[in-house]
Parts: sequence; structure tokens; C-alpha cells
Amino acid sequence: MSRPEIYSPEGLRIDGRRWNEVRHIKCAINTHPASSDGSSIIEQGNTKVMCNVVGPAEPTSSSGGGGAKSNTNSFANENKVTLSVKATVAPFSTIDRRKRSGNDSRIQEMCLTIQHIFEEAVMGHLQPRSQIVISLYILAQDGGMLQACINAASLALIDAGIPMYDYVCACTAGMHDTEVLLDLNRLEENDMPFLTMATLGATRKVSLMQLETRVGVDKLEPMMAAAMSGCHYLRQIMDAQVRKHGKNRLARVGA
Amino acid sequence: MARDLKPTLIENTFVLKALTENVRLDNRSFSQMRNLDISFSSTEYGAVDVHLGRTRVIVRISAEVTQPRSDRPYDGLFVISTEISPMAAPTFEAGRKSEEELVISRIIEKSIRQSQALDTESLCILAGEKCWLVRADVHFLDHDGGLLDAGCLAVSAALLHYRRPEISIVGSGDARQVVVHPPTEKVPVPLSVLHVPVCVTFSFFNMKLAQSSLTAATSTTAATTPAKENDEIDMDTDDTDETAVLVDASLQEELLRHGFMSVTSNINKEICQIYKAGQLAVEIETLLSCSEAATAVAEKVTKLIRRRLKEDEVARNVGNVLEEARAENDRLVADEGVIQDMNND
Amino acid sequence: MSASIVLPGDPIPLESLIDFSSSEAEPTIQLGPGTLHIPPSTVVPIRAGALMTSSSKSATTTTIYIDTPTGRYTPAIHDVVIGTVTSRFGDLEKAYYRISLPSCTSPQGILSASAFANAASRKTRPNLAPGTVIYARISATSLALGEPELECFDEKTGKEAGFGELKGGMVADISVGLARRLLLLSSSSSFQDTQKMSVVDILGQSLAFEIAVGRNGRIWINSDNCATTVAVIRAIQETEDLPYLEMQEHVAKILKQMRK
Repeated sequence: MSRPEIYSPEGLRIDGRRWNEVRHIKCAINTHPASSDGSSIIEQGNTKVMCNVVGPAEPTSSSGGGGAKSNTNSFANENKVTLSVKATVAPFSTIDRRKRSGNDSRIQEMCLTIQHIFEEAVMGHLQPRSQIVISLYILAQDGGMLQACINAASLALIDAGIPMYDYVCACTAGMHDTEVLLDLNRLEENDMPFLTMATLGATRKVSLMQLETRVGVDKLEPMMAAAMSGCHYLRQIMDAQVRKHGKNRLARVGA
Repeated sequence: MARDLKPTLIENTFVLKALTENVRLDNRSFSQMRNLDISFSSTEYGAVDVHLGRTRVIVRISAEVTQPRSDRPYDGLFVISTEISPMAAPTFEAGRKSEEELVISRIIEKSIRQSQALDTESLCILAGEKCWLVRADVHFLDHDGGLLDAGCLAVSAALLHYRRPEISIVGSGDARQVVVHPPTEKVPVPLSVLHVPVCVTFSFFNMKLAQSSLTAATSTTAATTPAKENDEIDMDTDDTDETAVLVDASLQEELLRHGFMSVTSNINKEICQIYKAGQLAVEIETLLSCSEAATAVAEKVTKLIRRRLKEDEVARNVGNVLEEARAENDRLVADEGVIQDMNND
Repeated sequence: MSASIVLPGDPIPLESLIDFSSSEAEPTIQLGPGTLHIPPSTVVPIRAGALMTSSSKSATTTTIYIDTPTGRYTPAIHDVVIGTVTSRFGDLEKAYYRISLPSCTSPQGILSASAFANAASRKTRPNLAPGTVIYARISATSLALGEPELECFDEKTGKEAGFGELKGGMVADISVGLARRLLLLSSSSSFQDTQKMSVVDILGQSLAFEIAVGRNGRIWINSDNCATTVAVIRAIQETEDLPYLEMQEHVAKILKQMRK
């Protein structure tokens, strides 16, 4: 069997998208109103992530954060909220079903990354000595796990009514020879260098940028530009969904 | 001087204020690295000692013959162990993986192993049966910031320096055996290093925060709340000069910085890895120029590594022993000799 | 002043250090830190270091002590230290601050909120946030007490006398030995005859700055601009182990770099 063509000469990708098209996005907030203070679910193509947010609440000793002894380096950010991020990868999230151990260093790193992103995006000084727990459940993986997790966490935090500066939106962009491709799926991710970027809302401020494959420095700029426009587009979609949800709620209250 | 304390409030204010006056505490310019010194063990291959200012890292490479993983029969194994012991700083606990250690080990892993700096296919001896396991043990001896940068370049340098024992395969069929020759028997061979990744960390400081903390410090002592409100408002206004970027931060700067980005690149102007995880959000243009600056630093550092390697080789090669022990013929010289002989005829 | 290296167990040749021949008055020997008296008349060092002697004005009393480059400072009453406020405890009436003391054998000290010059009423008491740096004096310490107690006023006059919160400026770490020498050089006049100025005096000839030295190896510097402060800190930190002439040169070099 011949390998599927990543990017056809006609400008079509494996799943029929153009270079600058993101995958189909489905998102919802307040999906688990009983179990958490804020919740969301997001599907980006076949990648599916669920997020629960509990807090701001009194820090629990079991969660390791431990309020007063937060992992701050300086006295200057002593009075900030403590974030704690946990991610669970479902055994059925990939084609080969297998049980994943909790202390995979790649997942730990991702949790830490998400924690650092939202420590800056959340107005932590408004909730001193409290804790916010973000739990992520990765239900299906088809590329862009990190970006989906960030977007899901962003939506769930908004649903929880936690004061934030803006959405944090994440998107990936890859480089196939000299062509930039936006929002890669798993097959494309395995085939080309790509970066994940997260921006603070629709600004030019980059909160996260990660690249894990070798690429020429001259290819960086087009990838970054594409990823950024992807982030801004995702913000629109997420924002529309949150507004729709808000309108429905208002309508119910009004009725 | 035991640094087991968090920086105090006045250190926080002063470092930021000094940055607005373009001053760093050790009198470096913003883009200047500390003194970098690389030295190799004179007795062993693959042992390197890197000093970056007062930060010190030792890396030791070792190799042994094992079985390859069943899902990758043609690949050798390469393991990097980066455990930070309390020797580096009293804040690290033995046996407990700190957040910093996790980040350092992951970035070194991505920079060197995942970027295929070491050609693992060349470590295969007998497909599916025998392969080399190359181990890089990173020891952090003294911590004054930049553990990641020092550790990464130490591993790169050590891989270049290391010579694994020569092997030969005797027998055939099922009776095949791998014989490892000690260095006294056969000259050890270098590893197949495809490129030299060098990691550079850029530290970001939010200068808006510096200004607001300065006004807070001058107005009243209990002015922490007004300062916070100031920086909220400032988030919306645009200013080009709002982030200070420092190369190779010292420990004090590391503890006080608002964000960082680590870029690993090599002399071929390739980026191997970028790690900017949250914290201060920085303009996209700044990140791009940092990535480009990283390749320039990588070039400089790689040249230093190569120079030190050459010096080490000269020091080892007293009495031209390497030349004598060489197995292969020097083709070019031999050919010229033949041509000259023919001309003489 | 004489200096020879002694190790624990070495004999201290008292005869060569002190002139017993002058019969005007019986010479008195004062034993300083690092020495142990074994009756009847033996004195032995209990630490490794330089054997130092110093004579007081009366010339009949000689102090013997051992100068050791220790990494840690052992708190002693009336010593000045620089510490950091880490937390606050107690109720409103009796509030205390926990002060961390770097390079001190006991890592924390206690400072009562009423141990300030203007602490009579609750309104005038300073309110110190965690991370604040204070300049204080040790008012009580003992092995049984554990944590040393600090105070931020001069107990003789009841005035502030420079103690209290250090505002602005920058703190830096130096060795405990250097901190002791800097304090010694600034306080006692008997060392002036050596014609050697301390690094602080040399810097003071060309720069204007404020300095506070804590016995626990911490200094605080403040000046008009950051470049001066950084230069002063660097000069003090980098010249510790240099001979006098090289120290002068190094200070000149740092000053030149600063003015560039």
C-alpha cells in the first residue's frame, strides 16, 4: 500500500483541507455542572479533550500544592492563587489500546506547561491563598493534544467565572517542505516539523511556543505567523460558543 | 555563600530597576554570556567538565553492549540521566524530582536525543540481538543559574569526545559472538554524532511591572495593591520596549524573571527545540529575534567546543601515537606518492 | 599584629606572644573565640585558622583569638545582622515577625513588633510584609533559647539608630569573615595605624553610597543609581582574597568600567 499523500499538488491535505484550514471544531462549556465549578469539552477534528475546573477554593493538603508553601520563587508573588493541573490520558485514546502510567514525564511536562500558562492568564492576585485545580481528560488523540488541552482549560476557566485577562488559544502549524500547514492531525504531525503556539487572546503576545523537531531557522517565521493566525481564528470560534451559551442562559433566566 | 533563600523584595525591585538603567548585577550586557570553559578529562574519553560562570556541570559518557528494544531492532539505545542532587544547591532534594529538574531533563532529552544528535542506528551491532547502550550521566555540581544550558552543551561536547571500544563479530549463524576489544588492543572509535545541539535560555522581564513596582516603592511602603491595579491597566496599552531579554541568566535573575524561552540550535542554522511554556506572554517578534540570536550563540559555542577538542587531541597525541595506531591508510597521500613515483620514472 | 596558622591540638606559645618581662603590671590575657583554656596555664586552639592577638589601650591586656573563615555565623548578643521577614505570628497585641538569617547557625530569629523605636502605639508600629529586609541587633541568644531574639532600636537611647526596615538599595552576600573584618575596620581605631584602608573606605573616596553590614555575611548598599550600587557590591565581593595593592587596582578597574 502506498503511503497517503500528505499534501497533494492540488493543494489538498490528507483529510481534504487546504493549508490554512483548521479541523472541524466542536466545543461546549458547562458540560458537567454538578461535579465541578467549570467544565468544557472540545473536539478539534478527532482529538477530544474534556476539562473540569474546581476552585478557587481552600488549598487541600492532599493536592500537594499546600497553599502557603506554594512553589513561588520570590516573595513578590507570594500572594497569588495556586494552580494545579492534572491530566489523564484515557487508555482508549489512541488506536493501540494501552494503560498509561500516571508519571509519564511527557504528560507531567504538559501539566506544568499548562499551569505556567494560566498562572499568567488568570488574575491570581485577586484570589490569594486559594487553589484552582484543572483536571484534563484526554479522550481521543489525533494530533494537537497540547493545543486541545490549553483550549479546553481556557474554556473551563471562563465557565468557572475565574477572572482572566483573555482567552488563551493554542494552535499548531507545520512545515511540509516549503509549505506551511495549519492545525496538523496525527499523520501530519509524524511527518513534518511543527510548532505549538498559544496566544493571549487575539493579541500578538505569545504565551507558549514549543517546537520539538529539527527545522531550519528560516522556516520558523512562516510557521509562527500561521500558528498565530490559527490562534486568533480559534479564539473567534470559542468566543462565539461561549456567547451562545451565555445567551441561552440569559434567555432561561429572563423567561 | 549558601543561597537557600528566596530573593527579598528589595532584590526584586533592584534587579528590575537596574534593568531599566541597562545594568546587570555582574556588569554584563543583556546579550552577553558568562565565561564559558570546557575541559576534557586527560585520562578518559567522554568525561567533560563545563564551567559557565560559577555553574559547574560534569558529564560522563559510558557504553555497554545490550539487547535492542524489540520494536526497534535496528536502533541502539541512548539514555541521558539528569538527576539534580543536593550538591548543586541545598534546595534540591535527593530522590524527589523537582519541577525544575523535570523541565531540565525534558529539554535536554528533546534537544539531544529527540533531535537525533547521536545516530542511534550506528549503535546497532547485530539487528535485533546486540546493540550499544550509550549512557550520558549529567552531574550538576554547582548551581548559579543556567543548569540547562551548561548541561546541554556538556552532553554535546562529551558525545563528541567519547570513543567507544572497537568490536568485532566472530563465528557465524547462531554461534555469532560479539568481542569487545579493550583500548590496549584496538583503537576506540568515535560515536557518529550528526550535529551539535547547543541550548540557549533567554529570560524575560516585564518592564511594565518594573515601573509600577518602582512607583510603589517610592510612594508608600504598603502600596502593593495599587501596583497590581497599575499593571492591570497597563496590559491594554501597547509599548514596544516592555520586555527586557537577558541571555544566560544567573541564579538570582532566574529566580526573579517573569518568563523564559530555551532555544536549542546548531551550527547549521537549524532549530532543534523551542521551549517557552507559559509565564510572561511576549511579543511574537521578540521570540523570533531570540531564535535567530540563539543560532549565533550556538555557532560561537560549537566553535569553542571544536577548538577545545582539537587542543585535547593534540595533548593526547604526544609522540604521534594516534597516527601509528590508526588502521586505515591515508589514501590521498599514498596516491600522490604513486603519482610522484611515476613522474620520477 | 602577628598571624600564624594554628590547628586544633597545636600548642599556643604564649611566651612568644606576650611580653611577660615588663614588670610594671601583671599582663592579662583575654581569650577570644576559638581558644580553650586548660588549667593551669595551657591555651589550645579549638579551630583551625590564623592566630591573632590584639592589645587594648592599657597595653597590659592582650586578647588572643583565632580568625577562622567559617561559612556560618554564630549569633552573639549585640551583633548587628541583616535578615529577611518571612512571616508574622501572634495576635494584634503581641505580634512577632519570623526573620530568616542567612549564613547563621540558627536559620531564624524572632523580632517582636514592639522592639522598634516608635512601637509605643499600635499605629506607629511598622507593618512588615514578607520579603522585607531588616537591619537589626541581636538582643538575646543562648543555646537554651534556640532562636535568637532581635531588636530594631538602640537600647541605650531608645532611638532608631539606623535599625529597622532597609528601603531601596540592594542586598548581597559576602563571606562571614569579610563581614566581620569590615565591621572591625569601621569600628576600631586601633587598626588605622596599619595605613591600610578597607575596600569600603577606598570606594567611599570616589563614590557616594550608604552601606549596612550584617555580621551574618550580608551587606546592604544604596546609592543614587543602580550602576554605582552594582559597582560597590562587585568591588566588595571580588576583592576579598586579594592583597592590598591588587585590591586597590581591582577597585580602580571596577570604577573605570562603571564610568564607561
